Order: sequence, then structure tokens, then C-alpha cells
Amino acid sequence: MSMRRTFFTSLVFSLGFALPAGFAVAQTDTAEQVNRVLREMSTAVRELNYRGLFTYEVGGSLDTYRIVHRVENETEYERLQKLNGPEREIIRAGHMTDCLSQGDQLLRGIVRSAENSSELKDNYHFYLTGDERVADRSASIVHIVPKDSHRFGYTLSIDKQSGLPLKAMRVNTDKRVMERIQFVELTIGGEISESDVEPSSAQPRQAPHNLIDCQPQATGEPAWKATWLPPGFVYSGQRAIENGDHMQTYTDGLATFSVFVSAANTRPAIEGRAQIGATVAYVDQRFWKDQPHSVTVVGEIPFATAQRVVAGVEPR
Amino acid sequence: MSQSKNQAQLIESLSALVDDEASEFEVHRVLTESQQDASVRERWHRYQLARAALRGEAVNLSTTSTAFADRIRDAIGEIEFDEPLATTASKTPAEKQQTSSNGRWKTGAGRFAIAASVAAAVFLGAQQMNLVAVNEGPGQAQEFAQQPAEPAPSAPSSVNIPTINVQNVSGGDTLPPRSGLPQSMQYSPNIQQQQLQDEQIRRYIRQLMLEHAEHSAQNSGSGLLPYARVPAEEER
Repeated sequence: MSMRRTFFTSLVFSLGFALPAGFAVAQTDTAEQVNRVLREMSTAVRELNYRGLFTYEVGGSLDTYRIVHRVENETEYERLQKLNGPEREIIRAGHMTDCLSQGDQLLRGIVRSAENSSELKDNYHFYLTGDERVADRSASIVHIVPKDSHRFGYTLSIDKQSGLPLKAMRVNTDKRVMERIQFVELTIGGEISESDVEPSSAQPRQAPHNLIDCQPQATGEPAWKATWLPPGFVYSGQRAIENGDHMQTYTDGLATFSVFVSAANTRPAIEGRAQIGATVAYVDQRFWKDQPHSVTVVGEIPFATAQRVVAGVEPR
Repeated sequence: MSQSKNQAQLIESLSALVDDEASEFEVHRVLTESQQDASVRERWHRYQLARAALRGEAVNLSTTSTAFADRIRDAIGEIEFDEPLATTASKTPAEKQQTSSNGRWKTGAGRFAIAASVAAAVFLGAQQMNLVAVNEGPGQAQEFAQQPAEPAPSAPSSVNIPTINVQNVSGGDTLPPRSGLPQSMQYSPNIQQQQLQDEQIRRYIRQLMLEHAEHSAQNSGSGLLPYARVPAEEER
């Protein structure tokens, strides 16, 4: 039977591709280097003054953004503006640079409590594969390959001088690029005035930030039990969101997902899954004490991971 | 065309569909043939199982015809079409907008494809009815195949920037049937109601994405960049 493209040919092909052996540099040689690069990235994003333009590309669509980040008295002030289409502006002001989120702690390899002792290297292979030029700057390329199928991979190009990420691609389990964020222009350091980080549009969104980010345990035990979490993901906070749903968050340092629980009768009663770029949403209806609840996981993780997390959510 | 040759071509189309390489014509062939031939559905199911296993995804062992339709729809959602899909006569304004911009559209990109979503009780019944209608003739199947082309993200027009594409499909895929819910209820929402429901779902999921972006902006070492992932509400 003549099949010009058989499913099984591509099966063999993708299995071959799944082996991360193609990278030239041995992992052990670069482990310390990679740790340093990630630590610097996490620090630079929070502690440097910078302003730049970047593109966000997903599929065939391309959006452009301006970002300004200012630090004064160890406090961050940031503004993100979308430059195409309808106006959109995100403002985040007042976050202390020493308030390290769980994600920052993981990226910086900070030793954590015994029950939360996960490290990035337990869940990803890291490969430094060379240099490239992005936004007229010299960057180191880091390939990050997940060790299991519960998360996606990345290719980061990190500015050699400052440590800021200049380009980030997220790669799915089939080695396809799902999304790309890339700076086209970036100015690091220098004076940034207060007015540069103040809202300029009619309806800016104030991004919340608070102590929860660095002290998730301050809000007590998570209200809902997650009986299954992918290895390496740690609890990073909980709060009530605008519409009243309960939100609990998790991170492995690079990937994040959020769990939302609500009484289903107040929400569109839906079940199913949705995807845009690397972000998936998985929604299921659950019954506890005869009450319908809507449980949703949103995150940059594979469907199967989201589905399994949803299935494991239980009332405390 | 002899029967066996026809069959070979069909299997090839099916294989291409699983591989995300099917042409528009092949999608239609599979959809049409599958209505008459149970073996086509079974073969499709086997391919999907193998593929799901390869990807480490959960698999659903049911092979009911609605599950089959769901899976076809899932697969179509992942296919890259070479040519603009044929248009059909009746369209809502939203569909017209999509058609004007269809053409190439790519894997999971720039669109929010709910692969197998189901509304609750009453709505589930309505969706099953819709699927029955879809299977009645080739004209309907064409419309069915066209549906997922909705946001056509690759066209460089602001209309096509990431939108949430809600496809209501009856729950065959990875979701177990909801026992205890009146699945057989016969209720068909009119187009306005359908759009309202889709709009509600879209808005709800977008809101969760926005909240999630805030979390991601604190916990993935990338500053405010994760907000770029949230599709803008106004841009549909």
C-alpha cells in the first residue's frame, strides 16, 4: 500500500527527535555556568533599570509591546504597553526587589525547606549551545529540555552583559516552537523617570503584587488540596480573584499554572479544554457535597498535566 | 474507481489527517466516508490512540460516533490547511469576518481552540443534536470542517490577533460522560443564544488567563512579559 506520508514514519521520526542527545555540550561542563545564567536572569529582570520594545509571536500573529522597568529604593515600578491594536496597559508598582517569589527562589537555586527541596535541575536538562545576536546585543543561547512530559521546553537567549532574557521560545513535546518573545530594542541602565512608569491610557490594569509572592505560607494552608502535582512544582500562593473565584498557584521556576475553583452555578457551566499559544485551560465540573464546582487549570503546561491536576483537586 | 483503490486512498487521507498533513479535500473525504463506514471510524480511533500514547496524553477508549466526530474536530483544529476552505451560503456576521481572513492557519497558534468543550446538562443535549445534523450530508460536513478555521491567525490583520475560539462539542474526547445529567434533553439554542454562551465562556477563560498571567509574571523569571499571552478582549 503506497502511503506517501504514514503516521508511523512520523512516529519513528519524532521518537528519534525526542532524544536530547543532539546538543554538543556535555551537561556537566556547563551546570555551574547555567545556574549562574539563570540566577542572573532572575536578578536582572527585577533589579535593573531597562526599557525596550519586544514582539510576541504566536502562530502567524505578531504583537508589539513596550516595557519600562524602574527600580528606586529597592522597589520595582513597571509599565507594559501594547503598541498595536486597541490600547492595553499593565502597571505594576511597589514590589520590593528582595521579596523573592517561589519562582525566583527556584531560578536562583536558593535552598528551601525540606518538603520543598525541588531544584530546576531535577526536572530539566540545560545546555549552553552557543551565542547569537538579538536586538543588537550579544546573547548566550540556553536550551532547556524537560526530563518528563509534564512540562514544556525552552530556548532562551540571555544578554551576556546584563543577564536579561532577550528572546524566549517555548517548545512543545513535538519540538515545535509554540510561541516566541523577542526584544527588538533594549536599553539597559540609565535614568528612567517616574512619569515613564505611570499609567498613560484610560484603563490601565494594576497588576497585583503583595507579600504572598514571597511568603505563600503567610496566607495559611492552601484552601484546596492538590493531591497530584507534577514533580518539581511548588505551591506559590492563593487569593480570591476579581470575580470571587478562589485561585491557587504553582511554579517549577520556569513554568507556572494556576488552579481556579468556583461554585459552578455562578459561572458558565463548561467542561473542556482550550489553548492559545503555549497556554492551556482545562475546565471540569466536580461535585462536592452535591454542590457543582468548576475546577480550572490555566498554565503553560501540556493538556495531560492540566487534566491530571484538575482531577486531583479535592476539598480540604 | 475500484473499491480497493478508493479504500487505499481513504486510508492515506486518514493517515494524513492524523499526521496533520491532510488537505481540505482529504478532510472532506474522511468526513464523508466515515459517515457510512464504521471501519473508517475504528481505524481513525486506532491511529489516535497510538498518537495519544506517543504524546503521553490520556486516551479515551470509547468509539461512539459522537466521539469520532469530536476527534475529527480535534484533529482539524490541529491541521494546517493549504488552501482557504470552501465557504458556505449562510453565515453569521462573525463567520463572515472569519471567512474574509481565512486561508492559512496553523497549529494551536493565535487561537483559543476549545478542542472538546461541553456546556452543562441542557447544553450538552443541544450539542449532540448539532452533531447529528452535521452528519446528514456533505454540505453540512463542509460547514463542519470549516468551523475550526475561525480565527485564521496568520493573516496579518488586527482582526485575527489571538482570540478565544470556543467550539462546543459533545463530550466524547477525554471527558467521561457526566452520569446523572440529562444528556438526552432535546434543546437547541438559537444562534443568538449560542453566541451569547460562547461569548460568556470566552470572557470567563480570558479573565482566568489574565489572573494567571499575574502569577506567571511573578514566578517565571520574566517580569511582566507573560501578560503578552492574554488575548485582548476588544480584538475580536
